[in-house]
Amino acid sequence: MPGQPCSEDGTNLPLNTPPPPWHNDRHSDDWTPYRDRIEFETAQFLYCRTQMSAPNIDVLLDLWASTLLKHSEPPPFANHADLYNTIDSTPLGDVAWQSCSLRYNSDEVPEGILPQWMTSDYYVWFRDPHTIIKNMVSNPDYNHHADVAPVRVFDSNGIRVYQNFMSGDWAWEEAVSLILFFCPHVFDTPRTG
Amino acid sequence: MLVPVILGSDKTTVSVATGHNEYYPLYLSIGSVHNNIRRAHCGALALIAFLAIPKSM
Repeated sequence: MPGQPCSEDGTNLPLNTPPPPWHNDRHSDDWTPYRDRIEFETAQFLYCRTQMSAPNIDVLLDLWASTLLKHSEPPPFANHADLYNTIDSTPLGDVAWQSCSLRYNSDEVPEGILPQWMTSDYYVWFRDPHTIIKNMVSNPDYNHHADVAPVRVFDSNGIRVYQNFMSGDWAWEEAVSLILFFCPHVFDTPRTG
Repeated sequence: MLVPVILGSDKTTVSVATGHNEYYPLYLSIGSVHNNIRRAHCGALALIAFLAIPKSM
């Protein structure tokens, strides 16, 4: 498994084929949901840097609006509610959060009083891992900072060098034991306290 | 293409006014990304789930 580039349908391409252009729908001057860069920086300044209170934001925006009256232009935000709504509609990453509710529903129940966790409802919040993995694999920032295939690295004395995940024996043995696309999962179980 | 998926979780206790909530954030990374990039806030470690949060608390 040399990490050879291939097309979307799995056809092998020559080794030095560059990747297709990265799909980024947004232009560098697209500040949606902010109208422009000034609006974004105003929100960041008021909400993150100074953490200004809502009444004070209203005072500032009123002053701002009054100076713009003669130009017939609106301030970046009408009031604190407009600011908060804009911040709330800012997309965070590009994979939406989903949620579901679950509870214990096995027939195996102890006699007597049930422990509370067996009768409680629980929320699980999650994002689609497949989309997240695809985004990571296609992220051009990782160009030259990722291994597309397992590697075995040796120093000048022929001593094996282990550095990143793909330089280890596990990745090497997984890759040469299967020919088809392989996507193993490594679980790190939660510690309980 | 080999894409090892690395998942990790640890319990986080969050104090709120009404008591304590315990959140189990679940993180995901891929093994192909080099270690220095994964540690460098480049988006190679993503939060993908909060597990089992009691509704009543």
